[in-house]
Amino acid sequence: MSAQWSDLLSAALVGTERRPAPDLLDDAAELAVARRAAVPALEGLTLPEPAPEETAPAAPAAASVRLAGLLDAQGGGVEARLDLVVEWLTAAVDRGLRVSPAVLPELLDAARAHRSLRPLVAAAGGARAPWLAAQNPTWAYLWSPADTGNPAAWEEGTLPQRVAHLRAVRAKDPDAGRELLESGWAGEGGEDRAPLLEALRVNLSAADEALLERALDDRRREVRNRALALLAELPDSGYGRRMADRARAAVQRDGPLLRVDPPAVCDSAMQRDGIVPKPPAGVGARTWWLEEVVARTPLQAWPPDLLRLTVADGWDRVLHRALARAAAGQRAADWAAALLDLLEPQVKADPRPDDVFLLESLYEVLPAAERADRAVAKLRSPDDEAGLDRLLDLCPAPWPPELVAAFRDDLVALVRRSGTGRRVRERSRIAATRLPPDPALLDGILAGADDRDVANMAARQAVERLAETLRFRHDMIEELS
Amino acid sequence: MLWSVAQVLALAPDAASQRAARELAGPHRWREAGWDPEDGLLWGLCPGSGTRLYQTGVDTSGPAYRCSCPSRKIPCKHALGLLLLWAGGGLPEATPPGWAAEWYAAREARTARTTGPRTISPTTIERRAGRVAAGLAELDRWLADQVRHGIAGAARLGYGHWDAMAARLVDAQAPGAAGSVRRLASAASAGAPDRLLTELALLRLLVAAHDRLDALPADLAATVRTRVGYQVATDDVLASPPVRDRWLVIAIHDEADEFLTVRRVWLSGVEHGRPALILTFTPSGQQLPGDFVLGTTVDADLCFYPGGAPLRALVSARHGPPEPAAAVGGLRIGAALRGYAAGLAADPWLDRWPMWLAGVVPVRTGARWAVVDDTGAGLPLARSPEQPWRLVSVSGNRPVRLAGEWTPAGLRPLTVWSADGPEML
Repeated sequence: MSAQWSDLLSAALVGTERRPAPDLLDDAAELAVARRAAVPALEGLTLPEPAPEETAPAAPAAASVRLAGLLDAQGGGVEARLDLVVEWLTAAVDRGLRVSPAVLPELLDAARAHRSLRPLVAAAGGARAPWLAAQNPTWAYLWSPADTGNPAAWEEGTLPQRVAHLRAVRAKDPDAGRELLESGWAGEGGEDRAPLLEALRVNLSAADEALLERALDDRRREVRNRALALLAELPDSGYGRRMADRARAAVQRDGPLLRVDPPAVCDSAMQRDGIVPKPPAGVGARTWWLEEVVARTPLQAWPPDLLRLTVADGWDRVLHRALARAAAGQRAADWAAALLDLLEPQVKADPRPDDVFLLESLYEVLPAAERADRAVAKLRSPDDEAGLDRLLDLCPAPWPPELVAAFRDDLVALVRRSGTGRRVRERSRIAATRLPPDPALLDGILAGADDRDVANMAARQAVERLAETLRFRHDMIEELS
Repeated sequence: MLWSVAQVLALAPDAASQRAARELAGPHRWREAGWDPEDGLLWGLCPGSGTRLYQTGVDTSGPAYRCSCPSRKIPCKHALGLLLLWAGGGLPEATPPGWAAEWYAAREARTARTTGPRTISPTTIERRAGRVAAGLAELDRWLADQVRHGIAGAARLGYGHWDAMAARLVDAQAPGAAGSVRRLASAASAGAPDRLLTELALLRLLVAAHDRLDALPADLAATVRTRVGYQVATDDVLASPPVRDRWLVIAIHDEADEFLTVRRVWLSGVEHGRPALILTFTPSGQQLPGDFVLGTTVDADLCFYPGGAPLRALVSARHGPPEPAAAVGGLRIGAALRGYAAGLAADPWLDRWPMWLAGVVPVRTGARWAVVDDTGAGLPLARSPEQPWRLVSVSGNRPVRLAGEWTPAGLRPLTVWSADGPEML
């Protein structure tokens, strides 16, 4: 700043009443224009090191424009189109193409909020993505290794910081993590104990059992429940053995038969292990205790042919329900498949909401191929709706040909019936990103459907929208080819 | 000559239109569609909801659009879909049907029609000149008052203080000066006395220049009149000698407030290197004109508004349709700054100057960003809440062409050009 300008400025600040400066504004104008004309060009800068060379070819321009459109926040945010972004990126990775640099900032922002995108961004972002991300702290954390923990955070941090630190220590050294938690356990506040205990899930092992057993006697139900959930995940725990003893006392083999004698009381030891003495409305107390015990018993406690035995005195539905809960909780795929074979016909005949929910939790445990097989069977069997949408939702893209064919045949039937709009809409939404991107797939589906049937309008519109999505995906893949 | 898909999509008013247009870009969506390479006319019938058939036409030489659909977007998804189909080579050459030919003929006639000059009575002109002179005299006293009392407390004055003076200037029919007074408020409330004194001084310079308007050279006088707020009649602009060139569209930039969207289309003459600005004002919420396409050249006659550093221009004639073009021209930083200094000498109130830079790289210098060229010269970017990540990513620290506006606050980057073409920033 020139001396002359500073003089004018200080006069202007205090006012010419107190510091007379005749023609202040005229003088300032002359200087101001001169100052602007002599703009402060920076000097002596050096060109920075160029970004690493790209090895993969860039995606074609039209494909990049489409990706930018999918990521455009003004179009409703990436959430609504996350599946399509994933498909775009996956197709690009398959073809060895990389994302245009112009789209990378939006993509890195999207991957910040949606972890599922991160590996795809790393694979499709070329050399430019890590180069760019390293310059912006909000993206750099995408590429940096897991948080290694911060001891100060453990002593003084907020609860989320303390949990993050504990998880980080557990990831590196599980014993050190447990000892850290154990050392101050008695002094931890009631609100904090449950979330802190949950951090033991990282590298959970039998060595953690003693601390979890201690937490079973906690004053707070939340802490007790968290401890129970973790104990149930240990393969050979005292908790599992206690439950197995109770279960085997209640369910006994008698030749080809299973005889059931439910627990007569819910004693304090059972309550300590999480069994709630008061049954839900409409369920007998002993029946409830039986279900609770069996549902919490490790499935390895049973003989492998348990499900082939005949259950005496009509206890089969209760027993199978309880075993289904156990299979879902212990993620036992083989038990889940066998139990579905038993339960599906029952639920089809009498689809009670909590039974449908139980079926859905068993589907979640099945491997993808088994899910697809079951979805095909349901689609092919008339009016077997219980849990079907959830099952379809669990079948990952791309659907196998048999499932595609079954879905299409079902759709043909649905659009010819009245009042199926909601069903078609929901099913089309699920199928939209899982069907192969072939618009011809839906050709002829609407042929013969009655155009004037108002009740069927919603179904037809849903099919048209589905066709549009398939065409969009088809063009999207074409652009990348 | 066909356009590229990206060019067509650049015309879309929003992302939703882009998506909708793609769905309409299949041949099965259209009936009796075709195009006439001679006139650059496209047409087709598109089934809408129910049994309606929409008539869609595009004149690519404008481009101009016509569609019988109820959408208020221009271009609508049908026009965009038709353009996409054409860009993909999916339209057959044919003779236009009656309705399309009629529309084209009517458009030609309208374009050719000229309106007679409006005459304004000398008394009206004199009365306005008197009002403006009185308004500026009051502004002069007000300016002197500001520095007499001192501007140290300006940050506490609130918008009302500045708005009152601005409103009196609007009443005095000096809207340009009124706008400058209103802008003082932002310098004042930002606690930037340096900027505030500069703006006050430039206003004083405007008043002083207006006082001796008749003694000024014609170009400078025209600049002063424009800055004060006199409108120049379109016919007067179009009566000035045209400048013909192939004009490269280097940037399109919109600024919207609650009432008005201002679209600035920056052009650079391929042959003569001259910059030009096409300004359009559109009520907010209405469709912006889509007659310039980023990254294309158009062979046209431009007529410039009078002034010391003429930038704003009108198109008086187009000699051909827009054509895709490679980026050409562009200056090193030193030359670009000399161009700005020359502009400032001719128009001291210049606060927005186009820069078409070649061979620059974005770099971080301390807390700010700058662009630097291979001579080691740099230009600071204007401070912005957004970091220039797209510019950084596209450049990859390799030299790129950059179109931007130079302002007293720094360079505002608008488009970056890599080997793949232009990207809006």
